[in-house]
Amino acid sequence: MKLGAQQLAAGAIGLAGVFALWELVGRCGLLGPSWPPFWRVAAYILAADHRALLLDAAGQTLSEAAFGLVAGSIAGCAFALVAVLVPAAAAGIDRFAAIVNGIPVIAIGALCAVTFPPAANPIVVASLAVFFMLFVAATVGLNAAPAAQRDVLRVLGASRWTTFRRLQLPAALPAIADGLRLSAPVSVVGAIVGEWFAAERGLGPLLVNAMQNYQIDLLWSAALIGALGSATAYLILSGVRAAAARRYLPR
Amino acid sequence: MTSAANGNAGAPFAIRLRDVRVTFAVGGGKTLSALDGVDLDVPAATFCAVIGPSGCGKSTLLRLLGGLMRPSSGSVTIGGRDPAAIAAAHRLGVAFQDHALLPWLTARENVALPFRAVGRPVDARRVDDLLAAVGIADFAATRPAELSGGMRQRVAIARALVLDPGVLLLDEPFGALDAVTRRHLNLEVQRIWSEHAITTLLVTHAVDEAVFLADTVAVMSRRPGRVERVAAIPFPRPRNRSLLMTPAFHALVDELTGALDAADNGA
Repeated sequence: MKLGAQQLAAGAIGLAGVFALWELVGRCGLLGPSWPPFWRVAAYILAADHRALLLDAAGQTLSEAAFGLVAGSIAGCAFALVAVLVPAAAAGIDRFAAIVNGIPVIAIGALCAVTFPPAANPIVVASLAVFFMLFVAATVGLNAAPAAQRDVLRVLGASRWTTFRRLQLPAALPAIADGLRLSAPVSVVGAIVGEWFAAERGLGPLLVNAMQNYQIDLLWSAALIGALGSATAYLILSGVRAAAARRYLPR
Repeated sequence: MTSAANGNAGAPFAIRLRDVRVTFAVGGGKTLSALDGVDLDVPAATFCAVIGPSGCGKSTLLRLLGGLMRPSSGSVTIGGRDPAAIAAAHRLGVAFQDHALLPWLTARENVALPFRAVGRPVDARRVDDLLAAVGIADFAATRPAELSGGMRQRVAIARALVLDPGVLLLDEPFGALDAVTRRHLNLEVQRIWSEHAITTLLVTHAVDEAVFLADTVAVMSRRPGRVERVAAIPFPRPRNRSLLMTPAFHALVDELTGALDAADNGA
């Protein structure tokens, strides 16, 4: 549960292993000239004349991802709430959410690009990508309270709303935090896909331009920064989840 | 711990079951009979223990009384009314084998939960009195994860009593505890009960527990469940540890254990 020193050390060793392998493949040219060694990409990112460009793009994309994560989470939780409080609506909401989830993110990106203003598009795509995960997490969470706890409240004559507020909602928090943690990387993917179609700033346009102009170091730099951004968000939200689980899960 | 502590105290209710049948659909058009014509009377302010082999429908009986389900036929009343109406009037207290405490609340907050659940202001004195009565005053600020199994059940008992219920329903509340802790808690429940005399239905499979705590013991047969026999327990209250050593106590436990065996094999 807890992110102890041991787990952090294991994570650091794993990460170092990935970078070492990357370096080895690049150095020896095992996968051709389009696979640069790790240090060359790192040096490219840190070089003064690229740093501003990459930081600007990363800031743009990650803030879109963050807005998308928040908006998608609110929508997902709201739909789950209605499904749980209004059982008659549950089946319909469930189908709707499944259909939204069934549309490939790339198709959603294209559809949204012709519907929404370019600036809003990455946020909309990111929130739609997050929506289903939070809907599922919140639905599972709101039904997670053990039967005996519900029975106690029913025998006491607690109202539907009181049962929700005093029992179901707090019991749902670990599952919702879990959904948030898993959604963080998804929101970054959504934001980048959303940017591909119309945006001028962000990691998405940077990736497309670098690929078309064969700027290998720029391409890898943008990819690495995107990956680091989602990994950081995942780690932070893992901490939130661990705290929620400590407090709200029975032991 | 006066019985008028929260303003809606009234006389305890009598429990009455007449020809109660419960059948469940088990798929393939088949039905399973859990209770098959149960008659039981628990007069107001008396303690009734229901013993029976596993699967005899003891817990079904308790769920009927908690308003958690309805009988397929027959009548179940508490104080002459539908149990669901008594539950809606917040006049029932309940404790299960699963303590069902909320893990994010402290012991004190768990005991205060019924006040919040029914939208009444928390009577902090009542909560503290009950925490003291069940012997966990020193652990009031502790969460269930840090409490032992016996302490959790003490909190659950205090929670069941806090609204001063007209009927107390106990579903093997000490079933998961070790023998020593269990006997200790039985002594305390006996003491608390003797002070309050709330109409109580205890479901248990421990005959000695039933005889020690109850005024009447109902012996149920294996599925389909029926009350085979109701035995009056003559020992005066308050009862204490010395009762457990008397030949009369052991004779009664042995007799009812025999009745239980017969009920188990006979069906």
